[in-house]
Amino acid sequence: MSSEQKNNSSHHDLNSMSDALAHLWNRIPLTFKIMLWYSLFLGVLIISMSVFYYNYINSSDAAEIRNRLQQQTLVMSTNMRKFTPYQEGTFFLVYTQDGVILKGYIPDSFPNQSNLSLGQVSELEANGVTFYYYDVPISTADYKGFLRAITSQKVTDKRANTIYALVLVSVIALLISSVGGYLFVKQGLKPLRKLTQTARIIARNNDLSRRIELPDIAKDEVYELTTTFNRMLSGLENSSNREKQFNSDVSHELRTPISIIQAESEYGLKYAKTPEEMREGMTHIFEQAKFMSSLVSQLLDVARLENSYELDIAPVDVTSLLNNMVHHYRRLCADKNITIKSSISDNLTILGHEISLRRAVSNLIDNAVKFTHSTIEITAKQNNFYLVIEITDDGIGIEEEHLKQIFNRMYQTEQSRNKKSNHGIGLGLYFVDKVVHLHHGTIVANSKPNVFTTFTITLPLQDVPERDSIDLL
Amino acid sequence: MKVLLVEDEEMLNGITAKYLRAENMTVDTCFNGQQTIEYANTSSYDVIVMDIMMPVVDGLTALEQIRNEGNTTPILLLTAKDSLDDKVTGLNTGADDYLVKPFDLEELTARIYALARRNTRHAQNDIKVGPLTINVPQRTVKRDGETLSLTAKEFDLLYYLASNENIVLSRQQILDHVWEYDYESYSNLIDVYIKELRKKVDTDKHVKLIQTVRGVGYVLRTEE
Repeated sequence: MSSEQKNNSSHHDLNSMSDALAHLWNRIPLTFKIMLWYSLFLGVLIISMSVFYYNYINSSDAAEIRNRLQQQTLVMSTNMRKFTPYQEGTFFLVYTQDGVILKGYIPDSFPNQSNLSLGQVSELEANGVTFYYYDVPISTADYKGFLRAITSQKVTDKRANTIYALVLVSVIALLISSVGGYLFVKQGLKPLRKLTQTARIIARNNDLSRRIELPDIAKDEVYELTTTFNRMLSGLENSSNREKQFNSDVSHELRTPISIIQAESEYGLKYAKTPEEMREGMTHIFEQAKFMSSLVSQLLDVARLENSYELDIAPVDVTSLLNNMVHHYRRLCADKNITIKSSISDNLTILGHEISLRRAVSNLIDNAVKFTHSTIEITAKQNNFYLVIEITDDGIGIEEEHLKQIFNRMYQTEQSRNKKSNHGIGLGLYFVDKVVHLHHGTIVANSKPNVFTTFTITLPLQDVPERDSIDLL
Repeated sequence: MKVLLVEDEEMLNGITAKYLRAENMTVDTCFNGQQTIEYANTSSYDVIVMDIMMPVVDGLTALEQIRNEGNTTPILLLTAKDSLDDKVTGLNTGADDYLVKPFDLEELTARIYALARRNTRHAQNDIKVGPLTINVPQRTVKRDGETLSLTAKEFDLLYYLASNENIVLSRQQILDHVWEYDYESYSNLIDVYIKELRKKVDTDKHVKLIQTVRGVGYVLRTEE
């Protein structure tokens, strides 16, 4: 392994270590992180305050000691006859100018050699004890020398108690704040855990009907998150229900023709004897197969439309499109006693998707042909910035209670799907509605039962801002 | 075996009825819930086969009403609704069986027989009445082990009498149960059939099973 590689690998090790640390950190629950963070800060704060307080007390003590020492020494020096080697925590000793101790004792661990400290109190550290000493020159009949007073700064009981109390209170405060904070955070984040649990249950059971319990008191962020989550669940549930309904409708629509085909073939195989009987069965089978095929192609149309978020658009000559359709339907209805009136303005052009527009309009005309008694009227004109297409028939009409729902997928006014009376499966108007919305237009149905039904499509003529694509709404 | 078939899809109604008739059942057909209630009230059926999604009055409502009137005719729901909820609701409303479309006509036939059998408390398809052994699905009748050859209507008539052994049945009851609803009846139709049936069942026999109850109707008597 070359050194470069080694370098790289050590670099790599470092990286992976920091990765591992980051990973570890990410794995710590948020509650602990928060607790850890402010406990750390609080700890640092308490420790620094303690140190500061300790130092403050120390220094104020030191000043007091110095004063007392000096005073004691001066008092003693003026009255050497009453010399005592030890007095109130202070050692006194007398020594000659040569440093020979005449009276008194040096306290343990105080160095034998030390500088004179005349005029000011000196501080000296030895063996971890702080000593203060002060020298005063004295002269008596017998000798000339110095009086030295030595005292050590001992931790006094009072000070110790204060510090112990301080530490104790700090630790308790730290404990209370950590545990309390932990509980608060935990309590506050409880809905989040519920959120997680609910999401898990929904994922496991595929049950979108569940909702997360709202935290009852505070309208905080968690509350907002919960309501948002619930709203999203409602939306999902609705769309999933619509999807389920659609699937069940489709399967229902397919069951009847399949039943007929199956029954006809079963009967034919078992009992049909004459070719005529067979032919009748075949006719029914063929009819049902055609019905199923048209159902499937309609479903595909709708599915394609629902999956297309963009349609290729181009200018559509609505005038000629409608005129062609009127011509086509007049021919279709020639032997049906149905009159198709039309009033279509010239030069109507919009930007749109011609194939889906044509299909939408023909769905409406198909419906009109199905339900009309005698007359269908098709009009198209410009109204300000809109193109308005109206298709009216004088048929059975639509009850008001159904008007709102007729654009829903698979909606039919009669619960029973009797193909004989309505010939449809409820996808036609849904398709029209989708197409109109893709063109940023609106569609409205008006009806008076047994008098008329009018479908009015309004499409914008002006360019809308995003013209390259039409968003699916 | 008399069946009321209720299905609003005409083509399906037609072919199902055709098949059941080919299976020698007597079939009345109707197309909505309202008709079902009327038919069930005025005629008597061994089994009612009914769709749920129908115009005018839907199947479940009709079912409920039929049961409310104390009619215990076995009812089989024949429907495209296949969810558990639909099945449970249907059965709880008073249906005896549930068959989802698309279905096998053979299975439908077997279920109709099963329901009829259950209703007459017979454990097997072979029904023994006195010296008679009647097999409904195979439509065979034996008297003391000897096979009788009956026409479809004669069989239905004998089966109806046998199902009500020792109970006197009026001519109207017999007409309701054995003949189709819209049958143009004439007064001595039943008598003619009874006479034919007697020829095949009771001739040369010491014990006469089919007896006339003057002024009331007929009875198949197996005990004195």
